[in-house]
Amino acid sequence: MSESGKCQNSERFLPSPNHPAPSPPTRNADLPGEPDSDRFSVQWSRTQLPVRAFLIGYLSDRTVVDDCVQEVAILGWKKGPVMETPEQFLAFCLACAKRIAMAEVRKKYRKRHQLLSVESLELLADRVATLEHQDASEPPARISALQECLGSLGPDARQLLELRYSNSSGRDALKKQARSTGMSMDAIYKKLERLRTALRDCVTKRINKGVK
Amino acid sequence: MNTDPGQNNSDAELRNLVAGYLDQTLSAEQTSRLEERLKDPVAMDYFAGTVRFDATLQEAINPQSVEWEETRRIVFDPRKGEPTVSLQHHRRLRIGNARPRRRLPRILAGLLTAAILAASIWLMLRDRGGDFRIRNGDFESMNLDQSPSAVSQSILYWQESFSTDGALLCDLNRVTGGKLYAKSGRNVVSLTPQAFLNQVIVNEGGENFTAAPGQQVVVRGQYINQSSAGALELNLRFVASGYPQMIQYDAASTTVTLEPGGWHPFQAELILPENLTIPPTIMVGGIPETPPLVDLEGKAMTLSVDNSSPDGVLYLDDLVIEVVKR
Repeated sequence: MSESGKCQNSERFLPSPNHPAPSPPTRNADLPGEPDSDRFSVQWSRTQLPVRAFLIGYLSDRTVVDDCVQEVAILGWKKGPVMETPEQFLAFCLACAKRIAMAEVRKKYRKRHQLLSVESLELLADRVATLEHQDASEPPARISALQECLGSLGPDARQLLELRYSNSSGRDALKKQARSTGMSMDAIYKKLERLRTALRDCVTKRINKGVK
Repeated sequence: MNTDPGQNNSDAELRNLVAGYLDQTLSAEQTSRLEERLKDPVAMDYFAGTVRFDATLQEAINPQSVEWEETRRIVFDPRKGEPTVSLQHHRRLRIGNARPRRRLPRILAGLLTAAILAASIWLMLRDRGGDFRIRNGDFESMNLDQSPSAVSQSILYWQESFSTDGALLCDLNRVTGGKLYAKSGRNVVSLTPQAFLNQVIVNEGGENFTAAPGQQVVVRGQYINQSSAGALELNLRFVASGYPQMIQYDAASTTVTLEPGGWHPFQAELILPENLTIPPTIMVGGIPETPPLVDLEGKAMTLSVDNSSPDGVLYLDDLVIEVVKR
């Protein structure tokens, strides 16, 4: 037996307000008693990325993170403050994400992977949430900037990133890639890290340029 | 965008540790070292910024999709006097991408299925009919995904002899708002006080389990008891007649005292007596004369599982039966 669905203490994830209100939704025919799907889409498009980041800090495994993101989305849809401000919706989703992530950590994840202490994981997640609130750029803008940066990469680099990030069997795909290219796994991971650093620089430049 | 703290971190060790954490390549020693390094707030800031960027990469390269599923269910219910038609809507949100299909597991699964099939055929030929079993003991035969209420009064393979409104098939997670989960799969049966389940016990060949003197039967399962004095009664019965004049003969009975709290396993032994010529146990429906004694030997047995608790709903899952070989 397990519990989920109670997302308490969402106030702790409320930031100082720095996000504009979402654009007014155009309503579809929503069912009585169910949330506004357009409004939810607007809210979720801004929330999914911070929630994923928050969960990666706790769990890091893509498959587990994907499942948890889905659980958070469903809770956000069923019980979240969809009609409230983006900050309130995000705070609710982060509180849910924390509860779900901790349940995963306690239940099974610890048996399979090396994990940091719960205290470190909580500090990390809190710091991720704080950075999100301090960030003046919207998640969709960051994704868009990154996609532009990805477009400037060569095919090999792009392929390597896709192997790592495009599905849940990333590690197996990387091993296959290492075998086919004659590279060691260590070299593959170092190359990935160099790519991530370069992309991060690229995104920062693009966003800063846009802000100015 | 804010300048992610530590973005230009020139600390090679920290960079490698954080990258290893995200790529899940850290050893136990490296994890301990990362833990140590994270006591420094600058290192924690770098870690948090890197985690955020990793999430952005995942969303940029393979964003999760959002799907809506809508169903409509029209119910025509003539039981409440005037026939009424109610239209129920259900909308289900799905976020996430289809998992990649792997060939090897599918091939292995195919080979395994073929092996199981071959073994089953061999066993069937060797021992025609096979072991007696409970059908749909895990209650997963019916998919309640598309049911707006996540509840059904129809429980496949059960309630062949009698039914009760107090027995419901339900998707436990949905009906309890996520507070409880099924022991396995998604569905369980809920029984209100005095409600019951019953099933005629057959083997794979469809042959009835028939009473024999001294025969031993073991029933196992899982339960959640919400009563302060929870009790589960199990019977092996011969159902001589059903409604409206109900006559039943209990060949063996036992009661299990239930623990409170979450899922608990139970095991109950039912031993048929040596003398199977017995009087009726249950008579309902204005039967004019007491029915005679009946020799139950060779009669088809029905398993009945009753919630004999005074209060509280009882949840059952994963019921199995074992007829002990004699």
